[in-house]
Amino acid sequence: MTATLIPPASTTPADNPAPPTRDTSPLIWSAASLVLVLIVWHLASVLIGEDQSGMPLVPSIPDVLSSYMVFADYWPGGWGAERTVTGAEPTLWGATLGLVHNVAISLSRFLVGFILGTVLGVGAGLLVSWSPIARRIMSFPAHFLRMMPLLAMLPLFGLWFGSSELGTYAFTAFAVAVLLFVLTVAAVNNVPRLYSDSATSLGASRARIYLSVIIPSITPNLKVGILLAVPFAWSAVLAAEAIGKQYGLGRILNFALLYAATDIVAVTALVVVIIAGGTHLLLAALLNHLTRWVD
Amino acid sequence: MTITTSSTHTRQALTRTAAIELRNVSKQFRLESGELVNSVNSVSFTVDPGEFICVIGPSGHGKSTLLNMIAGFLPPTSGTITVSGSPVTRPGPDRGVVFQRDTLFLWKTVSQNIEFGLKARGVPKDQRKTIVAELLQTIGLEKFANAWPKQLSGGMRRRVAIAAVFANKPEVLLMDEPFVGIDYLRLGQLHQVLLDLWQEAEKRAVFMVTHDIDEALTLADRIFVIKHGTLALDMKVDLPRPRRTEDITSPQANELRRHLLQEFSR
Amino acid sequence: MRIRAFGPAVAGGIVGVLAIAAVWTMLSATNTAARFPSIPSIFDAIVDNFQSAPILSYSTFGTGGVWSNTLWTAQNVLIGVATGLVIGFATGLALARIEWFHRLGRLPIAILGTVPVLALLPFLTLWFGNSALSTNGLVIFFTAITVASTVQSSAAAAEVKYADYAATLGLSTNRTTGSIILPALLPSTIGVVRAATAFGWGFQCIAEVMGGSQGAGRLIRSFSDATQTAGAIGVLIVIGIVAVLCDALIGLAGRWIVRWNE
Repeated sequence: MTATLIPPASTTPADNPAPPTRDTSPLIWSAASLVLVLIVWHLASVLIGEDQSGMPLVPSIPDVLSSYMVFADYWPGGWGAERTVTGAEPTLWGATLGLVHNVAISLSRFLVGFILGTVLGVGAGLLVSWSPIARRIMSFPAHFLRMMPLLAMLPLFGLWFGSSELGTYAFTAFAVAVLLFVLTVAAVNNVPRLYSDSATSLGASRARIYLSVIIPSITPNLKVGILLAVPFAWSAVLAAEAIGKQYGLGRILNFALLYAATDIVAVTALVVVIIAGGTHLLLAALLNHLTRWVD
Repeated sequence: MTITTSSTHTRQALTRTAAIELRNVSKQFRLESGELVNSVNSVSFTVDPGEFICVIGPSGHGKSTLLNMIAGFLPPTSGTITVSGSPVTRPGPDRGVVFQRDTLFLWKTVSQNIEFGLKARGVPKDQRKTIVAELLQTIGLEKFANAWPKQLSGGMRRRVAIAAVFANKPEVLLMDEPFVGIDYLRLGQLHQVLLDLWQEAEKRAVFMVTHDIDEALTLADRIFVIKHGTLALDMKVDLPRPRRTEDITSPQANELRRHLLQEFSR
Repeated sequence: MRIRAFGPAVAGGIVGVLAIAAVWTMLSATNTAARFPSIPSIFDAIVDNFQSAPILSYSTFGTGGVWSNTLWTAQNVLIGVATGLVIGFATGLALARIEWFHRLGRLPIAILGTVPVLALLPFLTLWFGNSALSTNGLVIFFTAITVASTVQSSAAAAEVKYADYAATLGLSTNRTTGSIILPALLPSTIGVVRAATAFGWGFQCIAEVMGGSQGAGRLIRSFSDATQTAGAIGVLIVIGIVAVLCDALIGLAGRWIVRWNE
């Protein structure tokens, strides 16, 4: 995937008419596809039965929606809704507070870890790529580190950081940083020599070439990598929450699993998918805007 | 080898089915802004079997659109296009196209690329082998029969691409600036290869878009000049074949060149 | 010429590993063994637990050592990738070549691409209990999604490049898909399989950490719970080595399969 620095001159329709596009009224089809998913879900919940303990394997849509109330159990109390653990009745308001509370916690863990990891990974990658010697030294260790099961290092981070927030941030940042470091180094490596050669012939210094030619030209590749790292970072946050935390979406998922409550698992997973998908969408929009000059 | 003069041309036009016939063909495009653009304006001409036509003209004036309509990639907004008597509705092997971009299949050898169209139409193996062997000889790449395209230079790949189209013996051959970017030395080689293939294929009609006046004078029986989507000039090239350097720099050739250049600057 | 190109890269790699080892030794000298075990102690942990790891019989009722659990993980990763590849390839191709499938499947599959893979684990555990599918299901999912996405875009690119030419040869859509689009997809598919395998090790292991009864992840969990950090790191390194080897093999095989590629 090469990026062009100078957009090509546009061809007039008379010269190169594009073949007719296939997507007609995509909005209708998108809506239809979501309706189809709901239909399939409903059919599955009806046709697929229950497991040995009587829990339906595929929870029905109404069951999932009513499981929304479980979020009330994860609200530490206050603002008009008391802790259900101490005996208070779960209310819709309590559930909403609980939902927002846990989403905010998980989201903050994601954001800190992701941003930290991106800055560290891309930054380190750019620094190392500056020097060919540094690149040669770091290539194999970085490759090896990336091939190690990054997420499975969670227990190690537990040993190093205990159950602290810092541990969660560090774990998420680490996973993202390793990924993006390897990607950045590879991207700089693949920049066509043509760009630096032509910039040199225009009189640019090495630093200027690096800053104004090489770094912009790798942004499309970086965009792909950063977007790939978004769900990956979320997986890291969920894993960290499942094992060591009191609040957070991962924690709720894990407890639902322990009680084999498919409907609670479903509603929590739905929230995760929406939030994670949302962060992905926003970031994609931002990155697309930054790389709008790409061919 | 006869050179068609005006009178024989008319006689042949009356007795044989035209290879390509356009009648009042126009093409309009709608831009994103909603504006309508007239790319081709009421073009009519007849190309006989055995004629080599070169189409020349400024960029963006409709040459490629014309070719794409004859090939069947685009329908005309109005007018009719017939090839060998049948109306053109979609692309097909009777109208072979040599594209400007590289369309060789990288995962197939040179021989496999050339025989691909034949294989797709069920031509039996030994027949395919013979056809491929003959073509390889004509284009001078017998030694590269089992090479990957990646092992070939740009000019060699062009030769293979052209041979692959000739293998299907199309009624007409359509070429959209097939030799752009080939260096001048190789160009002469490629022209000769094209003419050899053309000879061996009983000189099927060729409709070739080009930017290069010398190329047109070397190859064509007639040169069309397309300006602003219309056929501005239909000029016969009465130079003897084979055309060597002397022939395309002769006073007669220079007269034709002057005529063309005048047409451009009008 | 190839040896000359390898030389500096290999030398650089060795220097890099030595540099990391030096930094680690410094860390382990100034910290407890529980946080930064020394390199020799990591080696010892690997060797001592290679055939059988006593820690497993204390914490689970499992058997085996570093090697057997690594093999278990490895086979699950590879089977998972292979399964995901088949599913993803068929899906991606269908998305690119079948109009109604594209229209209906585009959005759901795009959304699936943003789902954090780990969110699937609770469902897999609930549905498939402790079987292998509940752990390598994550690998299958991730591989299928990324392969489908890559195959779809590569097929679209191949269509742009070859569709017109194929039409002039009179080929049907199916014929075009089989003889032209499919081979054109191979280079990018091999690339994405390599990447998916690299991620696959991580997903498989974390699934084992969180709830598996076997595998390297389970072993890491057991070592960590008993604060045997050297053991945990040792397993990670062994998996890393196996992963690097697998990646190299896939790379070699891939290079041969698409040896015609430019």
